[in-house]
Amino acid sequence: MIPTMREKRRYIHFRFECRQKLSESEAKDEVYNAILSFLGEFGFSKANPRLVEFRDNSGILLCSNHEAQKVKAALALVGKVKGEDGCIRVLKVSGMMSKLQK
Amino acid sequence: MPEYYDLDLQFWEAGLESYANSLGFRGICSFSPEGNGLEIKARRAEDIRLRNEGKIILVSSDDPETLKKACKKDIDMLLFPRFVPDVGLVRAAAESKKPFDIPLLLILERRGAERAFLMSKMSIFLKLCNKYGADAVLTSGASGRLSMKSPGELISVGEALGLSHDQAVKSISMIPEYILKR
Repeated sequence: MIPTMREKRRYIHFRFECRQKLSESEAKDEVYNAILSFLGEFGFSKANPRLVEFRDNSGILLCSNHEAQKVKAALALVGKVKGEDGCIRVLKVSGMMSKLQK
Repeated sequence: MPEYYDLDLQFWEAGLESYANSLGFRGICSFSPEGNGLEIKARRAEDIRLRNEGKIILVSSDDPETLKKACKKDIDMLLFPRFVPDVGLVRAAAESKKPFDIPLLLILERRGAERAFLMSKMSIFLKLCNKYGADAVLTSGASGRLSMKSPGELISVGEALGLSHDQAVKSISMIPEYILKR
């Protein structure tokens, strides 16, 4: 694929604010369900989110550049994590993963 | 870079201001008894009795006529939790330059179809505000630290509700700043 056809991506650094410590698969479920319920199946396919890293309740989510604001809104509207009060705090958004890992 | 404000918090605790600063806010307004705001939940116009305590006054009512009458009084913000597109109310608010409070807690508290209906109502209401020139203030309406949102999150939700990026930024920076300095 030529570079101009490549989909532009954004990396979203986020953190779970809740009492429990989540595993990577639990975090993936929470994040994907939040995006799916907010954007629906069609919106989810356009956003194309992928959890690329997760450690100590914070992680990095990869998504489409055009849908990054909507994905941020979806994460911001999470009020419960694993059935208990909690939220997902969006810390930073960047086009390069290395900038978020610093 | 603009300075951000969250003008609707429903709780107060020690260290709240520094926590809000860590999220990126310069100032907050809390409507709990210890806070710097006063919320008047009015069922009819006679309920709006103003006490000059130097507090930010928010008038909340389900009745558009009550809010129209509140526009003529010395108040700072209006909250219409039903978000019914009432042209008369939006016009009155635009003429008297009283902004509408848009608390995100109302969305957070709901799930599924109920949340979708509310977001649709909010988005139509904001479109009407744009048309008639009424201001809107995006707030978290938080009842605890976990429901507080950062400025970036408020802007994202504002954009999801149909505001442009600039309008969303203005609704948490310039308009609240004007209210606080008034």
